[in-house]
Amino acid sequence: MTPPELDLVRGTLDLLVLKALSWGPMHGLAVVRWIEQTTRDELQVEEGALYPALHRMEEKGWLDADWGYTDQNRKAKFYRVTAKGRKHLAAEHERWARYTSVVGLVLAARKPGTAR
Amino acid sequence: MRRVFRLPGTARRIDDEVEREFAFHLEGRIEDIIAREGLSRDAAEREARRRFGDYHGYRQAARDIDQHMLNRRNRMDLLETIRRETRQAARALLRAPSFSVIAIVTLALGLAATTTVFTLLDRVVIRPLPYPNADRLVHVGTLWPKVGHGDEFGISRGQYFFFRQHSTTLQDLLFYDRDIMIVPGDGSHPAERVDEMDVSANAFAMLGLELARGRYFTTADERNPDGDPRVALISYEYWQRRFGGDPAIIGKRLDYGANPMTIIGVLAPHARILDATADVWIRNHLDPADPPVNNHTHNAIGLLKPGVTVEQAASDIAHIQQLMRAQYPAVYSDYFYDHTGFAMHVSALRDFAIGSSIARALWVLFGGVAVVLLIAAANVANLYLVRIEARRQEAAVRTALGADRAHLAVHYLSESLLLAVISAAAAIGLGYLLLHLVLSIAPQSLPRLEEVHLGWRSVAFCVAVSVGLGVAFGLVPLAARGVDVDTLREGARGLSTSRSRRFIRHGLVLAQIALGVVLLAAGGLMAKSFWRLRHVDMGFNPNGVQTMMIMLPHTAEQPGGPSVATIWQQIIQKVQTIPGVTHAGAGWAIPLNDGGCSGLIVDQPLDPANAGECMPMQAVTPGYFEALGTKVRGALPTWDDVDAGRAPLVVTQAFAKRFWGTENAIGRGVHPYNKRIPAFPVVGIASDIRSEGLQNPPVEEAYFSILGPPGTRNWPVSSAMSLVVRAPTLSQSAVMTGVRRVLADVAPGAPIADAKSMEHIVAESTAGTSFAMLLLLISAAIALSLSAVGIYGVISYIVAHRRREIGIRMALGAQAGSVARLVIGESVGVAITGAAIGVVLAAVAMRLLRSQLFEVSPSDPLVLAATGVALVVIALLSAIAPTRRATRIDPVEAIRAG
Repeated sequence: MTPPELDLVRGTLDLLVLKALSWGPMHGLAVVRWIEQTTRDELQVEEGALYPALHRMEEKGWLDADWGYTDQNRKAKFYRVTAKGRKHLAAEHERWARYTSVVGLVLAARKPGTAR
Repeated sequence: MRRVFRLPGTARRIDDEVEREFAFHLEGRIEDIIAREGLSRDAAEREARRRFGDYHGYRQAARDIDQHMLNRRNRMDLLETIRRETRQAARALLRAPSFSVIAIVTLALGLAATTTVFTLLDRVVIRPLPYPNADRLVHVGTLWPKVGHGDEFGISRGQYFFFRQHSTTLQDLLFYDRDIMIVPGDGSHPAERVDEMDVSANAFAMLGLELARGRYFTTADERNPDGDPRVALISYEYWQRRFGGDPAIIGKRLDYGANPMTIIGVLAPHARILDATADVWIRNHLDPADPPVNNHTHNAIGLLKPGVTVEQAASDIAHIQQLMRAQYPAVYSDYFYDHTGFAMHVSALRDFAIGSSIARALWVLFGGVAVVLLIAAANVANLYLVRIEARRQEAAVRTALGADRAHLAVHYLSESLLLAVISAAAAIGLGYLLLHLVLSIAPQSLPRLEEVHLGWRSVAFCVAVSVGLGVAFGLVPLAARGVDVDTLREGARGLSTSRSRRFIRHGLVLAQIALGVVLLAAGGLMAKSFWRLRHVDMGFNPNGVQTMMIMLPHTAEQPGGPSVATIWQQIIQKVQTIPGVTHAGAGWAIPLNDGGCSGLIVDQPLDPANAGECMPMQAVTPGYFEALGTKVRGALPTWDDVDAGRAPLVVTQAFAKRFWGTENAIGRGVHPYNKRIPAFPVVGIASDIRSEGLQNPPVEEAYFSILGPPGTRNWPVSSAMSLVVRAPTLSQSAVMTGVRRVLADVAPGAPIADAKSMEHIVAESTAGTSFAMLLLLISAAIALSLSAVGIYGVISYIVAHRRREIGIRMALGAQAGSVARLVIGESVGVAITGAAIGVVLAAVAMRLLRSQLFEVSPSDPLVLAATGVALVVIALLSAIAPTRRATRIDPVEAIRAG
């Protein structure tokens, strides 16, 4: 097994899934494909880990699930973000943005005293 | 209400769905990999599984989450349903406040009465005794059918050892006796009498009696060479009372009587053997080497080996007694056996402690309150029938709108359950108060009283019964058919009540009246019994008589000083001089308190076989009969007689008749115990005294003089006697003060105990009857008022329903009188039928009461007839108001509104 190039920070998977589903209802496979494309395979994750995450988010009320049919007329379980899920996504998004900008600031900082 | 029907309903469906979801994922990925990387299907599948990771782990995780989610939603759904139904039910009850209040009050009354008596029954009769292995404890005693009135006596020391040695069914046997001891006064406490318990050392482990501090008896160190105990345990209560809970109590000495003892331990609070408590516990002195003697006065409790039944133990003990009889023919002679009917008796300790008559009485009372509950339930059922009538339209509309029977059932059930739960809550509160009331009037002779309180079992009983009733009431509407759309068509002008429903309603009233008769009859019989009991000729006059027990300390008799007999004489003669005291005397016992029997030898008996009978006997001083108010024919013993050694003897009429066949027995003689003591001459015949309970026949008793004829040995003067003082104008405390002053003068350090007025003793002896009577009468009163309410309700309903008919009759010229007759006639018919059924029922049911009754037949015609008439009168009174309403109906209005 090759080690993942970039480890997934805990809780980040939820964020990615919510973001993926924010475009519309998807089944788990589509979510994985979306993450793959969006991150250009940089972010590697055991695909199975997605499902406990999906079910847990359903339990928390962020997602609704329903069985439906794919374009190929196969039966699949589709997930949809609820209003509560959207609110959570917005909050998390905001938090991430702040976090990355702070980390960016720190990394861009110069040695004390050298700046004027 | 939004239900989430999408959720898989079972664990299996959860598994299926997770499996399908994962399969879909893998399949899609395999296709992706084949398309993108051109691998073979097998290789692609392997790659897809690799990327998926721990398939089983993730599957399990997903399942767990789904299961959890499902459980939670189910719970929420259920809670939501309950909340919704309760809210609707509460609204429905609030819409009909008079129905709700009457139903709740009625049910709560019935439930409270039932719960109260159930608590009593449960705590006293049903529950095991509060000992470890309580179900294996047995009482080992003896029966003497030709001597005692069905009483049970103890066993002998010899038997104790013999049984322990030979029994194959008993694992252990404990032995105990009660005694009293005199505690001399000190600076802060007056002299007092304390109860003492002489027990075998195994008693503590067998009965689970625990220590608050110190240690139990051990075998080694506990007796003086002469057998007197050297160490003692004291009760927690005595430790607190006498020693103020002194933390350094262990090792202190009890300097009571001749032999001082060292305190080695304090028992935990409320230590008792059955109902017997004691302040000082001493290890009894038993020597297996002592030869067996015929003295069966000791209490014994056995522990059965596991798996052994009481019957097996009984036959084992009976068999061992035969061995003993064979081994000790001198003690257990054939003559003795023939004469006494002596037999061993082994019974479950609980049966022994409670007694069958108390168990039966409590069950009868429970039956009584169950009847009250039935009447209450019939009332509420009737209310429900009326209510359904009123709600048929509503039900029909619901049915028409698509509600199915199940929905209606849930609707009605939740309403009646809410009613039941509210009633149960009210009943528990009410029952708590009732129980306190009942306990305050309960006779002291009721065993295990200290264990009675309202616990969770009583609450569970109350809730279970009320929920059962709630379900029954909820089903009434479904049982009453006709919840269909036809009702809509019938409309408000619908036909009058259907025949069947009218039948049910009448049936319920009928049942109420019949049950009311049964209860009232029971109360009436008990009341008559009680009246008879209190008016029986007791053979003494308790008014203005005070009694108390006086014990002379062992120091009272000094060498060269007055004898014990002289001290008694001084005490009694000085008490007699207290202003207000008319007579005073003393005896071993007072009527209605425990007495014993001893063998007597009667001179010239009618039947020589009776000569050595064990008869109630005691020694009394002059003044005893005068103080009690007992009439004596012939001469009353005087102090002159005693001083002169004439040893006057008084026997009761019953005694004289039994032994000599004549009441004129003056001049005959009786030897107490045996012929070695000279005969005492009979000087007087006392009128019959009911010493062994007012309900029992008069005693055949002999009252000996405290001093025997010249040359008497082995007739010791008792150092403890009951003083009887007749002082009609003095209060109890005035008498006590006077006696105390006399004692301080004549016998310093002699304690007074058991001070009771004779009236109190009489009341105590009939407390069982008055208790049962009160409870039955209270039940009957509740039952009667409930019946009255029920009858009133039904007649009112009938009048309201027949308005139209009555209106038409009146329009056609019927007089008010004939209308009244019409309505009253219907009530009278029901009432008389109900009363008749009730009288028949009562005549049968009252046989259960037989053992509680005194000189009253269970089918006493007067009581039964009076009860029947009372119920009919109550029914008529309840019908008056509705009847008046009927006669005032305005025909025009009634027909128009119809």
